[in-house]
Amino acid sequence: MDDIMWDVIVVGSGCSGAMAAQTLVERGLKTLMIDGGAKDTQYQQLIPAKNFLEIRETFREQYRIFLGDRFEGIPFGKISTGEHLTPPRRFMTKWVQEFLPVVSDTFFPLESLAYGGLGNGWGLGCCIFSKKELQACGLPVQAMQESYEVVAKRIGISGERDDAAPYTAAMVSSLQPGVEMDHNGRNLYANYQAKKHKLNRCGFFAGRPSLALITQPTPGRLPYQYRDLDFYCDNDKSAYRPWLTLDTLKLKNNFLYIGNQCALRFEETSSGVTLHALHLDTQQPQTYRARKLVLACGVLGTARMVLRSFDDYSTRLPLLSNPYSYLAAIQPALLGRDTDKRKIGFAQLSLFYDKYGDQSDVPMGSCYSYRAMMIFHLLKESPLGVKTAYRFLQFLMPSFTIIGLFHPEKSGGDKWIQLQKNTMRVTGDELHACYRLSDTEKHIIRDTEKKFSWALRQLNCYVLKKIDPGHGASIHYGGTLPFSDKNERYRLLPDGRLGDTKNVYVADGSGFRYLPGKGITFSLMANAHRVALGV
Amino acid sequence: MNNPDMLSREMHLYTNYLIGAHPTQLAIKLFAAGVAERNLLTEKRTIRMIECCIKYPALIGFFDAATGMFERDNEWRKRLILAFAILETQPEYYSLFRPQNFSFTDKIMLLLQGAGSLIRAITGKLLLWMI
Repeated sequence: MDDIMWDVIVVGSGCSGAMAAQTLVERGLKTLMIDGGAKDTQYQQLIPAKNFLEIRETFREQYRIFLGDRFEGIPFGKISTGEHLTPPRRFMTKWVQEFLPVVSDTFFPLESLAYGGLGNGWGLGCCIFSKKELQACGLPVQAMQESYEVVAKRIGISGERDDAAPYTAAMVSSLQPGVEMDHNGRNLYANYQAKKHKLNRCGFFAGRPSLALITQPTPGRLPYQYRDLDFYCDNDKSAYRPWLTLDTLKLKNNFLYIGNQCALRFEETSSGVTLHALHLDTQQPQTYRARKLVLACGVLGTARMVLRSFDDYSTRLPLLSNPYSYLAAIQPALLGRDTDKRKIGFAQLSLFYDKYGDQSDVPMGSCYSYRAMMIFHLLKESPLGVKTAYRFLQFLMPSFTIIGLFHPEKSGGDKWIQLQKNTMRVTGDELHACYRLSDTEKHIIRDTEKKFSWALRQLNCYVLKKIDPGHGASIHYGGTLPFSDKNERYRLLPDGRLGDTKNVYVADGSGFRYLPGKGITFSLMANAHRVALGV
Repeated sequence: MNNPDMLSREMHLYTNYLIGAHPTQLAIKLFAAGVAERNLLTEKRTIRMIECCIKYPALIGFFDAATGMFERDNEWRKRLILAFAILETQPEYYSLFRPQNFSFTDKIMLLLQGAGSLIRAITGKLLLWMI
C-alpha cells in the first residue's frame, strides 16, 4: 500500500469527507480515504424493524437499546456535549479520548473517529447560507449556490416552501415533500399561522425544517417510516448518513477506503504529499502517498494535523463555535394527552429570528417533541422525588417541546486552540482549547434567548427551563484556518488550498470565518464538493 | 450490601414503591449489574439509607422526596433512578409508563401528590440529618 501513488488522499469520512470523495471519484481520480472507521457492532442488529411503541410493548431486550449494555444510557452527571447520544450511537466517540485528547475547562467539543464521523448523529437540518452569510464566511456565492443543488440531489432533502424557506434549503430544485408533523408540531404550527403577522413584524419566521430525510422511494433507501427511532438507528436508510455515500463509493474501481487509521501529519515532497498515520489497534505507523491531500477530519482534527505537520506547538489558532442552548418548554393545550403512534424524532418546526430583516445574523431554534428518550432521562433534573416526578413527567411529556437554539458566531472574545506536546499521549501531543465569550456576546445571547421565549409564548408554548450544555455543545466548529486571498500559513486560499503548501487542501469548516446560527452541515458538504472540484 | 440477596430485596422494595408490583427476575439481575457497572455504592451514608429502607420501607418516600429536592446527586437516589430506568424498559410494565390521557381525577391526584411531596421532602431532610 505504501508504494502506491494515489491521485488524492481524503482524510476523514464525515459529511465533508464523503462529499469530497464522491466528487473526486466522479471526476475519475484515484482516491484513497484514510479514516478511523469505528462502527457499531453491538446494537444495530438488535433493533427490530418496528416502531418505538411496539418495541416498548413487546421487545424483551429493549433495555439493551435504551440503557446500554453497560448502563451508559442512564445520565447521572451534568448535562454535557454529546449527552443526547443514545447507547447505539455511542460508537461515534470510540477512540476519541485516546487519540484526540482535548484539554480545556471552558470548551467541550465532540469529535469522532467513526465510519461516517459526526454525520452518524447529525440532526439532518439543512440550511442554505444567505448571500451575506456566505460572504461573511469567506465563501464564493455563485459556486456555493451551484454546490448546494448538487449536494441536495445526492443526499435527498425534504421540506416545504413556507415562511421559513428563505432560511432553510427548501428552495433547492430537488426538494421532496416534507414529513408529517406530530401533535406537538401541528399545534405549534397552527398557533404560528394564527399569529404570524405579529411575529413576522418582530422578525420571527417559522416553518418546516428542510431535512436530509427522504419521503419518496429512492433506490436502496426507504421513504421515512415514522418509527420514532431516529436517535437509535438508521435501519430504513431514509436519513442521510455519510456511510451511505461511502458504501456506494466502495463499489467503484477508483476508490479505496482504509479504516482503523488516525492520520497524524503530512509532508510535502517533490512528487506530492506523504501522509503519516497510526494504526488505531496496533499503534503501528503507516504511510501513504498521493499527488494531493484533502483534509476533512473536522475542524479540530484538521488543526491538529496542520500544526503537527508544521511542528508548531506554540501558535494559537482562532476558534469559532456556535453558542448553543436548549429551551425546555411546554404547550399547556397538550398536557396529559396521549401521543401519536406515528412520530418523528427529528426537528419538526424551525423558528428564525431575522432581526435586521436582511438574512444576516439569524439565530435558529429547532423544535423537537420528546418521547423516545424516555422518562428516566429527565428524572435527574427534576426537583421532585422519583415517584412523584415520574407521574408529573408522564403528564408533561406530550406537551414537552425542546428548542435547540443556535446563535451566530463571529470572532471575538477569547477563543483559541493550541497544540502542546505531551509524551504521555499516544499521539505525543494534546490540543488545548479556550472558549470565553466577551460581555457583548453574552449580552446578545441572553437577549436572543429572551426574544425566543417571547416568540414561543406567542405560540402558547412556555419555557420552563434554559439548559446550557457548555461551550462546544453545538458541535459546529470553524474559523481555525480562515479563508484569505493571501498565500500564508494557517490560511485557506479561496479554492480551499492550505496556505504555504502546494498540494494540501481543506474541505471541512476550518476556513469559515463566520458561523451563521443555522445548521451548517449542508453548507459544509457544499463547500467540500466545491473544494473537491478544484483539487 | 451489594450481595445478590440484598440487591434483590432492595429491588423488590423500589419496585413496590415505584409501581406497586414485584420485579421480574431479569429486572433484579439488571439492577445488580447496573449497580456494579455504574459503581453506585461508594458512600457509607448510602449503606445506612438502604438499611433504613429495608427495615422501615415507609421511609423510602421521604428519602426519595428529600433527595429530589435537596440532594439530586445523592448516590442512593441514583440507585432509585437506576431501578426506575430498568422498570421503564421492561415490557411487563409498559402500560404503566406509556403516554396516556389524564382524567380530571388524575390531575387532582397529581396536584395532591405534588403537595404531599413537599411535606415528605422536608420530613425526609430531617431524617437524612439523623442518619
